[in-house]
Parts: sequence; structure tokens; C-alpha cells
Amino acid sequence: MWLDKFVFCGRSVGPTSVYLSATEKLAGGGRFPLGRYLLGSVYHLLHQVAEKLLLGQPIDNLGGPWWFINMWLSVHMHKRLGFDLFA
Amino acid sequence: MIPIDQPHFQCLGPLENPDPTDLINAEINRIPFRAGNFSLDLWKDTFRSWPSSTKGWKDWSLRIGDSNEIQWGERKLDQCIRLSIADMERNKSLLIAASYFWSDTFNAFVFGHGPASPTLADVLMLTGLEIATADDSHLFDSKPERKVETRNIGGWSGYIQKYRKNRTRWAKGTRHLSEHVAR
Repeated sequence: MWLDKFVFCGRSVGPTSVYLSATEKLAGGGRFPLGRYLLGSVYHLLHQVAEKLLLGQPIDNLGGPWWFINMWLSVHMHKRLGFDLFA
Repeated sequence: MIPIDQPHFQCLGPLENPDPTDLINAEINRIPFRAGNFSLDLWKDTFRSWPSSTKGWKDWSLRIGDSNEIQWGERKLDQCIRLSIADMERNKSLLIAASYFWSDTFNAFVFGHGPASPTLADVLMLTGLEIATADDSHLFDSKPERKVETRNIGGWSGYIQKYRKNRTRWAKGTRHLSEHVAR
């Protein structure tokens, strides 16, 4: 659930088995570069969005880790935009 | 790459001019901001998958976390799990505005002050997730060993209810791992 809902934010917005094998691996003590998968998912999401914007199409619900992009933009722009990161 | 007369096309060929300015300029002219399709109607349904707070999640997460803190730390998951129980403020305007500056050729936002892109170092700093381990898992090609019920279960709240309730019915020894996997 954590991977699906909170990390990769699946577009189904409900339970799926998509990340179950990854979860089994983590729960069983296996290690893999989850951070790289997350960054790949960020690039893929932004690629899809850019493509749709270029064509003037609605973005719709693509799923994907908007939360990470939100956090990254906030961190990188907090001075210019006057955000208090610790509020 | 050899720039040619057509403004948005480049030819592959022997490199004669190492100055990438023309290429960069051509790509910058391809970002969505230049296309000018500005309408909030395009963004109506976009953030539906934003992780909203779900009844029971925080308690479940904290309870399992009590007994798994060390393992989560070893697997570099702890920082990111803590993020999931924090109520992160969503800044839709910022996300929408920034998206218009994304170049899918550079994998970067092309802002007025220069390109900026999330990197693996950013992922590590912000989430603490593992980035260095070799990836030999073929993660999304492999079949899970367990089955988790996902259909007609009442969304995430129903899922939490089911897998929290059933934890005592699992056989001793596998009970904890099964609940951990479901979570």
C-alpha cells in the first residue's frame, strides 16, 4: 500500500497488486535502488505531461509522484517564492 | 549533430562545431511554455492520485513502525515512510506553472535562470531512499508470491480494515511478514 499510494501514486487511486513483488522483496530484506525507480517515475510523469501540453490535450489523471516534484520545487524555490520550509 | 537551415531539425553527422548553443536553443523552443496552451481546464483531474490522508493509515503505519524501525532504517525506507504520514502541503499552482517549463529532451526544467532538474542526489537528500545498490531485481517483471485482495474491497480504507483485522488469523511466524507486505 505504501509504495502504491504514497510513493508511486498509482492512477487507479485504490489498491492494486502492481507493487506487490517489490514489497515482498523489501519485506523479505532484499535491497534494490527504490530511489532510482522513483526518479524514473518522476521523469516519466513529466514527459507525459509535457507531451500532452504540447498537443493541447487535458492532462487527466496520470498518477505518478507529484508529491516529490512538489517537494523538490518547494525546496529549490523557497527563497524566491518566500516559502517557509519549516512552517 | 549538425544544425541545418530548418529551425527545429538537427542532422546526425560528424561533429564539426562543438558549440551546443543552437541545439539547446532549438530544444528550448520545444518546451510546452512556447506552445502556449495555457488553460486550467487541462488540469482538472490531474492531481487525483495525490496521496490524501486515509482513515487508519497513520495508526497502522506507526504501529508496524514500532517493531520495524531498525529494518526500515537498514533498507533506507524510514525517512520516506515518515514523509507519507506527514500531511504535505500541495502547491498546485507551482506544479502547473513549472510543468510548462519541462523539457523532455533535457529531462530538466528550463527556467529563465537556467536548467534545473531533480537528480539522484536530490532523491537521496529528500527521501533517503536507496540509490546506490545494483539493480538486478527485474522488479516489475517478477510475479508476487502472495495474493492480496484489491478488488471490491472499498478502496484504501477498506484495504486497511481488511488487512489489519485479519492479522490475528494468519499463522504464527508468517503473520507479521504478511501484514508487513500488505502495508
